[in-house]
Amino acid sequence: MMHPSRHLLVVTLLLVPALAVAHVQGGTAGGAGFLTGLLHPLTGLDHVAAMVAVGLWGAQLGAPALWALPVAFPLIMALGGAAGAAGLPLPGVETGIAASGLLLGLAVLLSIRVPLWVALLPVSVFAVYHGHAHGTEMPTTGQPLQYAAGFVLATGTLHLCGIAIGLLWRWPHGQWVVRASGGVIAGVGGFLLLT
Amino acid sequence: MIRRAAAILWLLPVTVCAHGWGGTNTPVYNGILHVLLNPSFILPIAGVALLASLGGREQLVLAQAGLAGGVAAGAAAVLAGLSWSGVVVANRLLIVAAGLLVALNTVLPRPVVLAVAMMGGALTGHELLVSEPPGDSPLWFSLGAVLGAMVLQGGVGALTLLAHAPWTRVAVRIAGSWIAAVGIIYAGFLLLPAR
Repeated sequence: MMHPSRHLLVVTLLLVPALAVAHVQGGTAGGAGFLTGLLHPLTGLDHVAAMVAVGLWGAQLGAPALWALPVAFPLIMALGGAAGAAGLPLPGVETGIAASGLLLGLAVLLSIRVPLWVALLPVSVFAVYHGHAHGTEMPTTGQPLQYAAGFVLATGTLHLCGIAIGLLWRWPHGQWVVRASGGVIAGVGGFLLLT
Repeated sequence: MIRRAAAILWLLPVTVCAHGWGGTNTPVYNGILHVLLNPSFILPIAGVALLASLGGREQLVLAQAGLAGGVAAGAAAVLAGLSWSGVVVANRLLIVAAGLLVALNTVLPRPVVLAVAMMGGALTGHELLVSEPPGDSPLWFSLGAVLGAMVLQGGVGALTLLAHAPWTRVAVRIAGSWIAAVGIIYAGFLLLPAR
């Protein structure tokens, strides 16, 4: 009489397949292009700092800037991205990106309150610089659409993170947290500008 | 024991494709997944779904009919030997237009929504059949594409119809801006001179 555990072992061994292709994603799934695009804004401190600052400033300014900045930024960034993908040159991209962290961080730190159109001006200029950097690194072969979808999604998510932190502005202690976040971002931007 | 082992051995699979979607699956399944896993098809369909849903449930139903008819017509055109080289650019421009209109919170008249949905469906069906040759079962593959497109549009549209709270309406607009941004980058990639 075979022990029950041996029965189980035999049955398990018999069920082992020679080859398992569970969750294979070939063809059009586009993992590599999407992931590359998704990671591009997330792995650069310059992009992370500026994107979070946009969300923080929008939350500080309140409606309509709260939603107008995250809606406008990807659209304008896309214009810069298209130019970068097409190889059109834009001078001072690195400087512009570093300056975006510094200036937007300072706007949050000092809680600068301006009308919506005034807030949109610097944010739009910086969006073009960030988009150009993403577009320049866009793959010319393979999966450019997936890459674009990835970096737009990551950028938007960073904005939402900034907005989430910025919602602390409603509470007195939260205001210090938001301002301090702006100070850190300005510091990062200043450091990147000098190095 | 030996009988049981023999029975289990008889069931032993040589290759397991539990989650694969390669050549071993049915053409209907392939058609569904080609639509649901590729941003080239997800983005225009989602954009049209958001746009139609801004006008309410009736417009979404109208868009569902238009999309299904359009995908079938677009696929049928390819199968009949009619192929249009500008389909990819037109599809990217549709992504931009639909995303922008959603970002601007635009409610279109019913006939326009129907026309946009039909156009989106036709471009999707046409591009799908041109870019992904369905093998020897084009009709079943096309049926799968129609089903996949309807599921995607219905799901996105239903979620949009449920968005009543102010922040969810903002989320819909942000989603529109993201869709338009990806479309702008990729349209630029296609239209502007290559690097």
